[in-house]
Amino acid sequence: MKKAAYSFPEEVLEHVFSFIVSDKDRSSISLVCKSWYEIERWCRRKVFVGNCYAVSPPILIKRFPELRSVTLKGKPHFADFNLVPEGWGGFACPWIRAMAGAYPWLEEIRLKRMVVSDESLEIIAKSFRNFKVLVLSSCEGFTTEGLAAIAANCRNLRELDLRESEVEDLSGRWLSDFPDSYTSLESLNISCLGNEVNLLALERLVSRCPNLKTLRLNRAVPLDRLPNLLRGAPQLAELGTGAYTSEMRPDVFSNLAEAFAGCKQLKTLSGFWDVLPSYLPAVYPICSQLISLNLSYATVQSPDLIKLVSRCEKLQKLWVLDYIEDDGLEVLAASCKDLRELRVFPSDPFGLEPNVALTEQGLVSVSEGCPKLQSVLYFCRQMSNAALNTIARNRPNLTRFRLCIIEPRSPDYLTLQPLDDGFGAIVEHCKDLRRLSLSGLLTDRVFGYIGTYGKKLEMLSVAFAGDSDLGLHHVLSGCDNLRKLEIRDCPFGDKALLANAAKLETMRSLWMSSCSVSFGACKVLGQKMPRLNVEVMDESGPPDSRPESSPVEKLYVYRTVAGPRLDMPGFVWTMDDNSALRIS
Amino acid sequence: MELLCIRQWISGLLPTVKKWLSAWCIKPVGGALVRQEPEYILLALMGSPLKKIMLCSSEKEIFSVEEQVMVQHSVIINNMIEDGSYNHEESKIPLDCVDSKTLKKVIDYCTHHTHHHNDNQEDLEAWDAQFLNVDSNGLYDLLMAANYLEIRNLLDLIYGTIKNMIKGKKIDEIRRIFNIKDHGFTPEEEEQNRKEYPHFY
Repeated sequence: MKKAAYSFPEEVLEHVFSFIVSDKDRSSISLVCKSWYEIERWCRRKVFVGNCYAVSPPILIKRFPELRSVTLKGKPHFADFNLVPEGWGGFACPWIRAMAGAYPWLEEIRLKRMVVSDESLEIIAKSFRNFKVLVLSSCEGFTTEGLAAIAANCRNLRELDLRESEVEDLSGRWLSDFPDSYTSLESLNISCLGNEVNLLALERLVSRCPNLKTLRLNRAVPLDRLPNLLRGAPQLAELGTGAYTSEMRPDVFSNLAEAFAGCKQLKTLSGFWDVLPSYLPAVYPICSQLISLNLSYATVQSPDLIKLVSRCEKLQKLWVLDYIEDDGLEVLAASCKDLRELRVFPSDPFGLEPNVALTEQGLVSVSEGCPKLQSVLYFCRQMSNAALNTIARNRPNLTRFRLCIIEPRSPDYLTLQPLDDGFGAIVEHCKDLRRLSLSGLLTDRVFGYIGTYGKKLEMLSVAFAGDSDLGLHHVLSGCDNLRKLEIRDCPFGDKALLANAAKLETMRSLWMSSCSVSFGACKVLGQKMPRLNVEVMDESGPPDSRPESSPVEKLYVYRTVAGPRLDMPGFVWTMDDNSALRIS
Repeated sequence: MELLCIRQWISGLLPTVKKWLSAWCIKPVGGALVRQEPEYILLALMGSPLKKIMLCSSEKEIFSVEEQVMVQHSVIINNMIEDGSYNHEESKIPLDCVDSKTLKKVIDYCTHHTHHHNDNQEDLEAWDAQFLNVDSNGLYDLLMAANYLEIRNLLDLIYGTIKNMIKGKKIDEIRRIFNIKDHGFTPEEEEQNRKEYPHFY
């Protein structure tokens, strides 16, 4: 049998590719050769678009004609800190319209930081017969009317998750629009809704959906209704309570405790607004099975938190307010040996004096006691190089380290030195670090360490740090895997940016606000790099009404195959390769 | 339902029978026996010659192999035996798209898995890994043969192996493993790809 140079037939490759699902691997496959690119694009079912402006609906649809699941992200991360003005962009409508036409079998839409209108929700409700999953994370622009359309029409809906979105809550009636015959709900997150929902409709919905595993209620659901809900869904794995307060009555308490005890599969708890501490013991029966606890709304003091947390020996994830204090974190370190993620939020971020006894020591204790700790977000008011050093040596397995020392430019409180060496130790010892947020007093030296050691770093957040362009240059030239860089209030300027222009094409995006990048440099960057969108934001007027050397207010640079966007508001200018300034 | 009971009965029976046979120095039949009546099995165990069948490669080479072994693994061969189109005295099954080298390997695989099916998982996996330690041409031939003969577990094994040749590997390495000499992108496209995704290469 004569044999030509073999190649696996298309059906074989297609079958093999169906086992390869991660985005990275799929991208890799499509880069191997043209024929694999072709096969891969036809059998791709799931796509993740990290920046909705990096590509356009027609381009996406042309390349991937058979998608079932689409994830899109819109605004840059700093939008969470109100740095992105209203109307900036991230509109979901053009995407949803286009997908309605191209993907009648679409099952899943996940959007983050996008503007979603009721009209878009109505289009989703009517266009996709097999629609199963809608996740709107930190989105805005829609009302409960849009939700009503989803409830009424999506027969096969499994997941409706509105986490942290801003919803105009017109009426709680929308929940009743789920027909009585609808029973396929598996996950419901309405924690962001302001008003009361129709509680009777909620109870009926919960009890008729046998596969409901996740239920996150909003604050308006009173505590005394919780037992009934729990009894209707004893198979729940994840629960977000409503307000956790009520008149203290023994029957309410025992009812609640009994209902919790009945949920043998409950592993995740959140909610806990307005906690009345004497009701916390109602969850004690299930503490030993909890792996995730979000107490970031629970304004209770350390002793009550300690009593709760010390019972959760299987805990892997804890989000809590700084009321837990160093003492509480020490107990956490002693009790929860399986802890992987810790987030400590500030109870009073704008207060001038510390209101709680939470210092760097708490984090040091946890880093000592919890061998599996990988992910940290920690707000505090003081830090030292010594503590950071200790943390780095204790926990070289850290992958995410976000430290927020509340007062900008705070030095090492013991030595009054910059915290360069401390953060240097973090990047040096934590070789798999993927995400880092810096704070405190920092010079260019810390960026030298980051450029040298941060080889796996993918996302870096910087504020009020550095001395000169060298800092930015170290990061852009040294961090091989950098994807997202966000900077505010740092003295970084033109030189480093222009010298590392090519690097920006390998990244998803760069954000710089209140830095020293001149308008002229932005123009040069835009002209030099046609595959980048260089957007300047300035609410005080067109940047060309000032000298070229004036610094721009905000700069957002991202790679794209879609060219400059056409939906910019009046305060955003694009620096494309036309020498004339284009105003949208 | 009945087949299940029979299988359980047989697998319960086998250890005792094996011991008895080894005392009498009679070679036992290995593996779970699915499609045969209990009386026949006992007859076979008591010393009737093991039924063999003949497979003929594309190079006209004849391979004799236990019917048992091929019937268990290959849906195609099982169907042929069942529907009576195979006559044990005269017939040989022509496999025109499988060359001798590949056919021998396929037979090896089926034979090993029949006789060693009670081995622990680790040992079987190690044997499989060694078995598939071939170049991609060889893998291709095995895949085609397994597909043609409809040998499910061998197919799954090969697909898994191909997947591992791709997953997590750099692109230059994938091209080498799969012998892809011409990637088909224009020089500009290739350059742009390498610029945008330097760590994939």
